[in-house]
Amino acid sequence: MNHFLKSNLRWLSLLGLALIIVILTFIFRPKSPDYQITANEALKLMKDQSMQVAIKDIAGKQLIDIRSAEFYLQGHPESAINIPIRQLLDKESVELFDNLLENGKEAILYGSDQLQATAPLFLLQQLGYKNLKQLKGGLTSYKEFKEPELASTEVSEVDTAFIRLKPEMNKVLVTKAVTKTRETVIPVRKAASSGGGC
Amino acid sequence: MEKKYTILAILLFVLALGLVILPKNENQKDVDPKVLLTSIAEKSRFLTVDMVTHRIIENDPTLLLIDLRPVGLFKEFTLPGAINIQPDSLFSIPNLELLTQPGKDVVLFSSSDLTAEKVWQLGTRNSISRLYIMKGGMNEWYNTIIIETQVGSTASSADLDLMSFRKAARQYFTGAGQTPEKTDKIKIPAKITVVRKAPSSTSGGGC
Repeated sequence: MNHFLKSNLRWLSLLGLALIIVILTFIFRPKSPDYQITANEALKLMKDQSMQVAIKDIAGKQLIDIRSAEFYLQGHPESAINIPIRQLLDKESVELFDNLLENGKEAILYGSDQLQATAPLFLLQQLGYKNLKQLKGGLTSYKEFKEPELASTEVSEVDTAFIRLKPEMNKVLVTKAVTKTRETVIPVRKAASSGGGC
Repeated sequence: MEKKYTILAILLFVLALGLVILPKNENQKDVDPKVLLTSIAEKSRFLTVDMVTHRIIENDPTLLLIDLRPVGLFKEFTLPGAINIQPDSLFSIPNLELLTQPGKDVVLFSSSDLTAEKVWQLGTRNSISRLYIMKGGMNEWYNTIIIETQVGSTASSADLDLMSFRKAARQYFTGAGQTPEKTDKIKIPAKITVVRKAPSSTSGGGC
């Protein structure tokens, strides 16, 4: 055995070193966030309205402004911190979300309007951050300090009766709207004939 | 056989065994979350209602419209050529085949952007490419294309061109402008009836 080790010391050392590097790389690799639910399970989240938070319920929760820094600096709620959309999955942001999750604290994402924060929040929910919610109406509602007009569910504004007004329908309506005609009587006097006189 | 080859063979066998034992990654085909977030931030997934309308009028064969609204709204009215898919059944086999047709740009729309955004995200996560969203949804399309808006006197030539296009599109979808839009009563000339009156008798001037 000693003879074997002595004669193959070089390549055994290289092999051992390679194994150690692989193991250390695996252990200390940067952990990127991964999906905690499947796409099919995420379909059920689509209709979940509990992730919407009204303006009156934000007390005690961390506000997170997902707009770009320049918009954030133009004006924001006092306690809000800025994490632009592109930085939501950076190492520092993930650590913040993990800390909030571990401590049982909730955070509320908001953008300039409700739609801006919808997609990022939906992604973060799929990554397991159930403690993140969305401000109804976005920053607009915060500025106005009232309930937002934007519904959390979609409402159709299409007037189907109007768009069904096609040319054929127009002709029918025109026909029905014709008034009753008045008859005009024009007397035509026949030429008088002689009485047949003498 | 030399011992070193034996050791190497044992090592390879152990590694292979590890690959068998390790759990399978269920999300293997999923797009990386950071890549998905970049796509969300770029907003290149949005198409304006004018762009979509233009492609509808041109009968673009590469356009595939997917209406995500409830069935009731879909049956009342939808964009020409649109197919209705309920979000709950997004990953059913027929719907997946529909969404992954080669050479097609799949444009999703709902009443606004809420549902379309989430469906787009799940589809993109599932590695479905060429998915787009009609910005503003059906409400935006209706308020932009169907409802006539006035143009200010200081409008630029680009705005005027856009208004002309929308006017033409309105005519295409509703027929408005080709026949009277108003249903006012139309006057038809009075019917003339000739009534012959009996001539008054007059003397012939005779004796």
